[in-house]
Formats: sequence, C-alpha cells, structure tokens
Amino acid sequence: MAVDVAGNIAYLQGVLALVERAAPAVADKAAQYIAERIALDTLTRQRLSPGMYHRARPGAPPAMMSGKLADAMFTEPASGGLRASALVGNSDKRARVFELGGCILKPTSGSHLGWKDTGRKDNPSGIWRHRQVDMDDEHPFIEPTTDEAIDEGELQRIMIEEFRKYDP
Amino acid sequence: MAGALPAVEQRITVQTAGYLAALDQVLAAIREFLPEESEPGS
Repeated sequence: MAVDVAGNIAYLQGVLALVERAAPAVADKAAQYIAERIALDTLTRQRLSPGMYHRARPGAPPAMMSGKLADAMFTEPASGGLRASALVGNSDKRARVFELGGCILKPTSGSHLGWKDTGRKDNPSGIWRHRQVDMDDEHPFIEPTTDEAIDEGELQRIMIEEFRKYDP
Repeated sequence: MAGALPAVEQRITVQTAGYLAALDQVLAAIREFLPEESEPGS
C-alpha cells in the first residue's frame, strides 16, 4: 500500500500520541511486578508456623508466618507524563524496621517485653522476657527484590513488553 | 511506637522523552518533503 508524505506524517503523529501514554503504563507495570514478586517469592522463601522459635539471619528477608507482611504490599498508580513515577511499598507497621533496621524495641508499659514460642534447647519453655529487643539488623525485602529483578533482566523484560503495546 | 512509622516505599520512574524526541526528529525530516503550500488563487 502506497503512503504519501501527508499520510506518513499523520501516522507518526498517531504514534506520538500513543507513546505519550507509555511511561505511566510502564511504571505501573514495573511497580505491580515488584509488589507481586515480593509477596509471592521474597517473602515466602522461608515459611514458619505461627509461634515457632526463629532467629533470623542478618540481611535475610523476613520469614513468612501469618502472611500479613506479604498482604501489606501496595502500589500507587503512576503520575506524570513523559517522565512517570509509580510507587511500590509495604504498609505493615513492621515493614520499615525490617527494611532499614536500626530499631530497639522497648516495652511501652511495664519493665519487660514478653512472649511465648516453641523455644530452643537452652529455653525449652519458650517463654521469653527481655527489657529490650535489638532489631538493629536489617531484613530488607523491597530493595533486594528490585535489585534482583534488575540484575536478572526480568524487570527490563517486563517493562519492554508493556512498552511494546504503545510502540506500533 | 512501630505503629507510628510510615510505610516503606520505593519509587519507579520511567522516562520516554528520548524516544519521543527521536520520533519528533523523524517527523520533522518527513515534513521537509511536503510540497510548500501554494498561495490561494495562484
């Protein structure tokens, strides 16, 4: 089919109008992918029964018990045009402590924090009482998941796949 | 205490300006091939 110059220009103007909608869509797709990958992969690598004694390895992502942390992943739709930003995050009250560390838990009433779990050899009762609990170690799950997705090329693949819908 | 902490978030930014600039250049190049509009009545 022959296309004249005017027809070619009209076609490219249509392409431009389409591509202008790409950045927000691609940012949304990337944020949704990261949120799902965290909930379904990073936060399920180690599953524990509720109440089971567990000492987390520094730097390891949080283990899954109730699943509330995974359920608290959220995304916020992209804003912007040719440069668009979307958010991926976690609204659980423990999320920031896990991701960034640097926290010491102290009782808000009474002198000790206390809980019961399945215990370990030197404390088979599983009853624990501490004046404070050091949560200084990081157990990040958002940044490492994003880095993994970038390093594996998977995030780029997902984003290109989405962009193709806007690139005839 | 922990309840007062804000959510932890990561921002993902995508920029398509470079792609659009390239398309604009293609458009400009093609427009040069358009015949100049003739004067009305000429």
